[in-house]
Amino acid sequence: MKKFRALIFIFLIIFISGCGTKEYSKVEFLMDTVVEIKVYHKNKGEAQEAIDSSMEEMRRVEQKMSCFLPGSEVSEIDKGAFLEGKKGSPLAEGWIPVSDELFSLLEESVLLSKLTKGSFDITIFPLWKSWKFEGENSEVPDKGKIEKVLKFVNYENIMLKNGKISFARKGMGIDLGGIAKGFAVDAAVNVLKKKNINSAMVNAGGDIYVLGRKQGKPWRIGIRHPRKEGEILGIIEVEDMAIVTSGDYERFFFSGGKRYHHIINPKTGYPGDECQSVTIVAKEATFADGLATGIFVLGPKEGMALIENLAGVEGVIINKEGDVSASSGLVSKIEYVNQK
Amino acid sequence: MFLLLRDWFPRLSMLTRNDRILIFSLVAIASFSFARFFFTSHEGKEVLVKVGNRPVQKVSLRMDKRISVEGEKGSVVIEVKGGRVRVVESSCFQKICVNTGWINKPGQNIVCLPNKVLVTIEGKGSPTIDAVSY
Repeated sequence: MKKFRALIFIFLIIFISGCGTKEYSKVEFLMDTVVEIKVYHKNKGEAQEAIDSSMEEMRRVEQKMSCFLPGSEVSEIDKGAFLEGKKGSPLAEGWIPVSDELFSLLEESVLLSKLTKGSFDITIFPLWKSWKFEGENSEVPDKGKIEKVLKFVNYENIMLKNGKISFARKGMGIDLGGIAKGFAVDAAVNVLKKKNINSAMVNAGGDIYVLGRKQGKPWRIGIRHPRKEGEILGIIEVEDMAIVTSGDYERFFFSGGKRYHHIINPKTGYPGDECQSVTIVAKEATFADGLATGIFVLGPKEGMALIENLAGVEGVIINKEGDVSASSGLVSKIEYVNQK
Repeated sequence: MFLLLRDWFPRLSMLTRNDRILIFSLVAIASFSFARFFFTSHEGKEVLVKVGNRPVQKVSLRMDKRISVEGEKGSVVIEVKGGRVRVVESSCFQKICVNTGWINKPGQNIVCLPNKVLVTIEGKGSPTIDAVSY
């Protein structure tokens, strides 16, 4: 009997050791990028259902927040703002009603504008429309056009009140391109949490959130080397954190021997040229996304001072010369692989 | 071996036969897990090619092959050679996919956004990193 009991015990150990969580993942083209959701969970059906629901949630956010999709809530605001005062326009009454979800994102965007002294600015819409980042057909707008359009870019002219938005001048508009991807990542993570998933990663084209730990260990996230395609600069280990990078290498074109990338400085109308890339590690991907965009434009010195002043926020900035600096909470945690 | 151990640890003789079976089994399980962890090939097994969100090809990473797929803007040529895979030609403008170079570990991928072509290595093995922020 004793021998039998020992055998049962041994089989129990073998059974338990094989009973851990398994990896389930899905990759899809979404929001003009590649989205990957990876989940570690015991139950296959539950994991796949959670992944599908969070992908669907990201699709919903895109349909709502994109200024390029006709009929989205944001493009309706832009249309209304442009037609201000005209009969039939939502702005004819002066204020456009906004959903609670978008309203809180607009408030967060304005807060990020204030923090970055206007370097992150969602009123960049008319300026962004003037630039053409379309592969071979890309072109730099002429100087006069940029100067003309710049008058319509200023977050201080956004008015938010009682769930409604208005603009101080006609012709303004909003583009959430610098923050919407992060918002979609957070939304997807919330769906995963509701589905009782406690170990997952949502990666929307490099805007990442890692939930919990990966099989008992922190997640290992690489930071892309801004000048070496396909290589990473270093690795950080994180859990329950968002890691978002803004870099000048994602979309660019050459014109007249000069390189123009897609992160436009809302004050000058031209691409920001102070940094090569900015990585932000924070509790929320929405905040990290907007902050990375803003600090990229703000510059390495003021940017790092801002990171150090914000509780729970860390970052890595690579300036235009390629020098790397990391915030105090991250400096000893980066495992450098490939510097300069 | 047991006699040797008994010399080193006199109290070992107090263990019952079942205790010994248990200890031996635990050591065996531990060694097996250890061996599996260290000797499992970290090379991926299959290359999955997707256009849009639709899988179009799945080939073994061990088989040298050139695959041509029709993306949204034109053709993309993928090369599998010596247990690695890369994009050799693409109709896209920036050629980020071509410049990514070779990949060989499970979980790694090459993306051509304009063509909506995704090349992923599937299979068992632990990549050194889980994702790249860019």
